[in-house]
Amino acid sequence: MPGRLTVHRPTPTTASFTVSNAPRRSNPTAKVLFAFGILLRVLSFICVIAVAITRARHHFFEEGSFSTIAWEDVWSSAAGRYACQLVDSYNPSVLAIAGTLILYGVFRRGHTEESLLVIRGFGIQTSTSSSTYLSTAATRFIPTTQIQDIVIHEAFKGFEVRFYLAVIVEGEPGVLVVFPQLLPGREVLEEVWRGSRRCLYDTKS
Amino acid sequence: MPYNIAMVSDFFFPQSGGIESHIYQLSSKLIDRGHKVIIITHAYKGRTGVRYLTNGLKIYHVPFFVIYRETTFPTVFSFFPIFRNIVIREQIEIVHGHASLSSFCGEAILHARTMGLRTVFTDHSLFGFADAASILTNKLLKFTLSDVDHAICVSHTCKENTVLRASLDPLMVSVIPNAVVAENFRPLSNDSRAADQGAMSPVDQRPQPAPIGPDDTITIVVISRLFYNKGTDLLIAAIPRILALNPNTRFIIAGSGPKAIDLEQMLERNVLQDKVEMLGSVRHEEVRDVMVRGHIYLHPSLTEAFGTVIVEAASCGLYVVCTRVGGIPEVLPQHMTTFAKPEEDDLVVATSKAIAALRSNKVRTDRFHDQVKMMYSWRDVAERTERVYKGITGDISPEEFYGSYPGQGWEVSGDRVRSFALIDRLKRYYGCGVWAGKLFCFCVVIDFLIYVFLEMWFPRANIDIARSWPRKPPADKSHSSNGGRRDQ
Amino acid sequence: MISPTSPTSPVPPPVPVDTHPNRASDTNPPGPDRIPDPDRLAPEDAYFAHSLSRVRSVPLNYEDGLRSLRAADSGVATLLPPRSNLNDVTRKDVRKIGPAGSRRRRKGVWKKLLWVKQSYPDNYTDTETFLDHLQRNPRVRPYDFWPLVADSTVIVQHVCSVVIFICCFVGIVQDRVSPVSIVCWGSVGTAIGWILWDNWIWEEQTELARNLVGVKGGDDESSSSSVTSAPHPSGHDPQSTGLKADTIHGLGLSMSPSAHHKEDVSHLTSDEPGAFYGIADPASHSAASFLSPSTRVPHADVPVIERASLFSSRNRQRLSTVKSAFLIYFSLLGLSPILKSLTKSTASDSIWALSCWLLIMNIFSFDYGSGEGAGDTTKFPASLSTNAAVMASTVLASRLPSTTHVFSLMLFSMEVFGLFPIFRRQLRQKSWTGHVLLTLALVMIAGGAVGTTLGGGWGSAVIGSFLGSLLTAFAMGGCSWWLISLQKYKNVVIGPWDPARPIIRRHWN
Repeated sequence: MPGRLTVHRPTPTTASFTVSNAPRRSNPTAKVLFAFGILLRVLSFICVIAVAITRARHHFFEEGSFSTIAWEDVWSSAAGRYACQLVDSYNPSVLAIAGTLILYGVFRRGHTEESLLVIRGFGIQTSTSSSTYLSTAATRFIPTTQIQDIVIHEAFKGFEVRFYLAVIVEGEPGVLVVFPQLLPGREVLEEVWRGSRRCLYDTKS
Repeated sequence: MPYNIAMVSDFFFPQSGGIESHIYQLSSKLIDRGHKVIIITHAYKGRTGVRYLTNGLKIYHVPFFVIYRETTFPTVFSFFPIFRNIVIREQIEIVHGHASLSSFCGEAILHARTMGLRTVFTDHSLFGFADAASILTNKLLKFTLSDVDHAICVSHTCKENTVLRASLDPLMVSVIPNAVVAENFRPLSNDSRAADQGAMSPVDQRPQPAPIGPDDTITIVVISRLFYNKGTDLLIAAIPRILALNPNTRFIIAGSGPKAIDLEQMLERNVLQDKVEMLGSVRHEEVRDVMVRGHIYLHPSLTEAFGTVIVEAASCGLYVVCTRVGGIPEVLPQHMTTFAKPEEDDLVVATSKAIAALRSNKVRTDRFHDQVKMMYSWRDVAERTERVYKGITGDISPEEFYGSYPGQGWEVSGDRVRSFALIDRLKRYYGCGVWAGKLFCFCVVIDFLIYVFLEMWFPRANIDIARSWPRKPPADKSHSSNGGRRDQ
Repeated sequence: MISPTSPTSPVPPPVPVDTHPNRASDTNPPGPDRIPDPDRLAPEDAYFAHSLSRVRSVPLNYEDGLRSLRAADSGVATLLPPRSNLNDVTRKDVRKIGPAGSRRRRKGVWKKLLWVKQSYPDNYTDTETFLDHLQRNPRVRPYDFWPLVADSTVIVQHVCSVVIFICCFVGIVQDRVSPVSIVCWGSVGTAIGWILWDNWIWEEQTELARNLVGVKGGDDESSSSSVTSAPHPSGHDPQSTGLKADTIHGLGLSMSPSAHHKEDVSHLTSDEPGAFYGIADPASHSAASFLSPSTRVPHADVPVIERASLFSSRNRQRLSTVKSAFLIYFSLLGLSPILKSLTKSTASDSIWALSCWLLIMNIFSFDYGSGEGAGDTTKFPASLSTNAAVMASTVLASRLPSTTHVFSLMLFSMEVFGLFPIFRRQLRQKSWTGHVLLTLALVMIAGGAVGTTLGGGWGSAVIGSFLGSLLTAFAMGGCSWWLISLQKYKNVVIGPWDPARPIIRRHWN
C-alpha cells in the first residue's frame, strides 16, 4: 500500500513530513469497521486472558490466593465447569502458541508510519513506528552540523529499483535512509526533499 | 527523433578493455546527439547499485553472481523482473546488447523482445566452429540472435562470422568499426602544436621531422596481453632473430599474462635484457606514452576482430607490422602497415622490411595521426549506429534501410522487420535446430508467461518513472556531474 | 578499381589492397560448387542461389527509385538521404582526399575495408566477396572401408588380450587352471617375444648404421644402401612367420606346447624378466631402445661404426635388461604376501566393480597409435592405461587364496599389459601378415576362453571361438561402415575468423 504524505509546517523553520500507509477512514462504513476492529481486539484479548486463567487455575487461582474473587464459585458454576472442561481438553502447548499468536494480532499495528522532522538550526529527526503498539517508535536525531546533504537516489531492492531519500551524515560510512520501511514514490520524495531543503537551508530550489 | 537506449553488457568499467571503452564512447556520443542512454551491467566489487558518469550516463550495476572473468552466470529468468523494472522506469525503447560471451546481454535481448522492444546486438569477437566451447557459445548466440532486430559487427570478417554462427540474414548485420579517440593518441611532435591550435592545422605546414639515419636506433613497441591467442609464441620466436638481423634495434614490450615467463626465459637464454625492455602491464591511459617511444608497432596476434590497438598505434605515428588474421587487413591502409603471415619467418622478414622502409625514410609516419583521425571517430560510429536505430524503429522505411533488390533474391527471407507476436517469435526460434529449437521455444514461452505474471503482480502503474538527465541539445552544453543529486 | 595516387594530395588516397579472388573472375560465382549442401548454411543460399543471375556492378542496381537521382549526378547524399549529415562529412573528407578519388569512389565497387568511407549502407552485403574465404571440410580425408577395418585390428587385439586376462583370472579363481601353468606359458611366450623383438631392434640398428655410413659415403652409395636394405623384407618373411607361430604358442595358453619350448625354459629365468624393463623403466629403456630417434642419438656423430662396439653395447643393454628383470621379479615375489591381504577388508563386489572400471579405462585410454610420434596424438599419458591395468590386476590378485596365485597373476598381468603391447606394436611395423595372424589367433583364443569360462569343456571352447570370431568380424565391419556413413554429417567450416596456427621453428633448442 503506497504511503500518504502529511506535511505539518507550524513555523517556517520547522516542518514535519509524515508518511503513513494507514487506510484513510473517511466514510461511515470505514469508521464502523474500524470501531469493530477495536472491539474485536479487546474481546480477543479478554478471551485469551480468560483461557490463561482457566488453564492456570490449579497453580494460582485456588482458594485463598486472590480473595477478592470467589474462585471456587467461578469454577463450580455451569459456565466455569464448561470452560474448565473445554480448556483441559487441549494440549497446553497448543494453547500457549495460539494465545501468543492472538496476542500478537491484538497488539500488532496494522500500518507503518514514518516521519521526518526538520528544524532549522537544530537538525532533523527521523522516526519509524514500531510494528506493535507495545513499543515506541525508533527515532534518530542528526544535528545540523553533521548533515552534509539530503539527496534522492536509487537502489536495488528485491526485484525493483526504488527511489529513496537519504541524509548524508558526516563521519558515517553509510547514508541514513529516511522512510526506510515504506520507501514512498518519487513524487512524495521530491516534495519532502524540496520542503526539507527549504526548511534547512532556505534555498529556493 | 531521440531514443531511449539501454546498453546491456557484462563488460563495463571499472574493468577496462576494448568492449568497455566501446560502450562508453558510443554511449557518450549518442548522448551528445540528444539520446538518452543508460547502461545495465552486473555489479563489480565495490560497484553496486545505480551510478552516474559524467554526461549523465546512468549505470545500473545489477547485483548478480560472477563466474569467470567478469561474466555472469546465466541467470535465465531471474534477471527479468529487475530488467523489466529498469526498462519501464527509464522508458527504454531500444535495448542494445554487447559481446556474445555476455549472458547478461543475451538474456536482456530475450526479455526485451518479450516486452516488445527493439533490440540491437553488437558482436566484438570472432569464434571458430570447431571446439566444444565454441559450439555451445554459437548455440547460445543463435538463441540470442534469432529474434534480434539488427546486429552490428566491428569488421567485415566479424560480420561473416556472425552471419554464419547465428544463421542471420546478412542484410540484418551492419558493419560499424570501432574507433579511437585520436586526441588521446597523438604523436610526440604533435604535443605542443595541438595544445594551442587544435586539430585542424594544415598538414603541409608541418616541418618534416628529423629523418632516421641508418645508425639511429629503431624501437619496436609491442603492447598486448601475453596470451597464446595474442601470438606471444610468435613474438618469442621472432625477437632474437629480428634483433640479430637488425642492429640498432630495441624492443619495448608492455603487457602481462601467462606467457610472460616464456618471454623472460627467452630473454635470459639469449642475453637480450639490454635490448628488450619489459614494462609489465600498463594502464590504458599510459599506452600512448609507451607508444610514442617507438617507431614500429608489432602486433603478432593470431585472431582479432578489429584490432583497435593498431589504429591507436598508427594514430601515435607508428608504422604497424601485423599478422594478416581476422579483420586486421580491413583496418588500416597499406601505407601504414606491413602484413605478415602468422609464421615466424614471415614475421621476421616483414619486420625487417618495415625497419628498412623507416630507415630509408620512405614512410611519412608524421602524417598518420591526421589520416587516422579522418578515418575513425566515435562521432561517426554514433551516427552510423543511430541509422541502425532509425531503421529498426521504422523511422527509415525498411526498403530504404535494407535496400530493395528487385529480382535478386534478397527478399527471400522477408522477415527483417521482426514482429512481436509470440507465434512469429516462436517460429523464428523453432528453426534453430532439432532439439535446440524446441528448447528455445520452451524458454520463450516461459519468458512470456513470466512477463504476463509480472504485469499482474507488479503493475506498470506502480513503477516510478525515473527522471531523465536533461537531454542535450545537439549543440554542446556542459553539465556538471553531481553524482545523483537532482538539484540542478 | 584502384584509385590513382596523386602526389600532391596531403593524405595519400586509399589504395584498396584487399583483393578478392572472386572479384576478378566473374565467370566463377562462389556458390553452388563450393556449397554442396544447400540446407546447411541458411544465410548463404538466400543469395547464392541467385548469385548466378547477378551482375558484377551491384550498386548500379541498388535501388531503382534512386537510380534516376544518381543519374542526375546529385552526389553521394542521394543514395542515403537519412545519413545526409554524415554524407556531408564524407564528402568533405572526399574533397580533401582529392576530386579524382571521390568520383572514382562513388562509382567504385564496394571494398572490404573499414578505413574507407564508402557510399554503401553499413548493412550492404557484397554478394561476390561475402564469405569468399569460407572453406568447408578442407582437410577431410574420406575413409575407405578396408583400411578402416585393418586399422581396427589394433583395438581388437587389445580388447582380446584383456578378455584373455580376465578369463585366466576367472579360471584361477574357480580352480580350473593352475596359476603356475598360466604364468609359465605366459613367460615362455614373453621370452620368445623378447628374443624376436631384440633381434629386430638389433637388425634395425645395424641397418641404420649401415645407412649412415652409406649416406656419409656419397650419392652413389645410396644405391648400395638400397641394395642392402632390399633383402630385408624378404629376409624378414621367414622370420616373421616363425614369430607368428611362436607368439601364438607363447600366448595361446590353451594350445599345445611346441617342441622348442623346452630349450627356452632353460633361458626362462634369465630372459623372461628381462623384457620387463619396459614396464619398470619405460622412460629410459623402451624409449632408448626402440623408438627411432633414440637409436640415432648415440651413433649419429660417430663417423664409422664398428660392429664390435655395436655388439658390445647390445650385450651391455641385454645385461642391464636381465638385471632389472631380476629386480622386478624378486620385488614382486616379496610384495606378493602384502598384495594378497591388501583388500581383505573390502567386499568382493566392490573389487569386481573397481577392476571392471579400471579395465574399461585401460581399454579406452590405451595408446593405439603405431608408436612413432605417439604422445602428441593421444590425449592421455601412456602410463595411464598401463597403470589402470596394473591396478586392476592388483585388486583382482588380492582376491586369490595363496601367495603363489598372487605372484602368478601379477606376473601374468605385467606380461599381458606391459610387454605384449610393445611386441604387438613392433610386429605391426615389421610384418603385416604376422599382425593379421596374431589378431586372428587372439580373437579365437579370446572366444575360446570365454566359451570355456561360460560352458566348460572343449566343445564350448570351439563354439566360443567360432562365435567370437564371427561376432568380432561383424563388429569390425559394422563399426567401420557406421563411421563411414557418419562422414556425410561432417561440416567443418574454416574461415579467416579462426585463430591462426603460428608456424614457429624451434631454432634455439
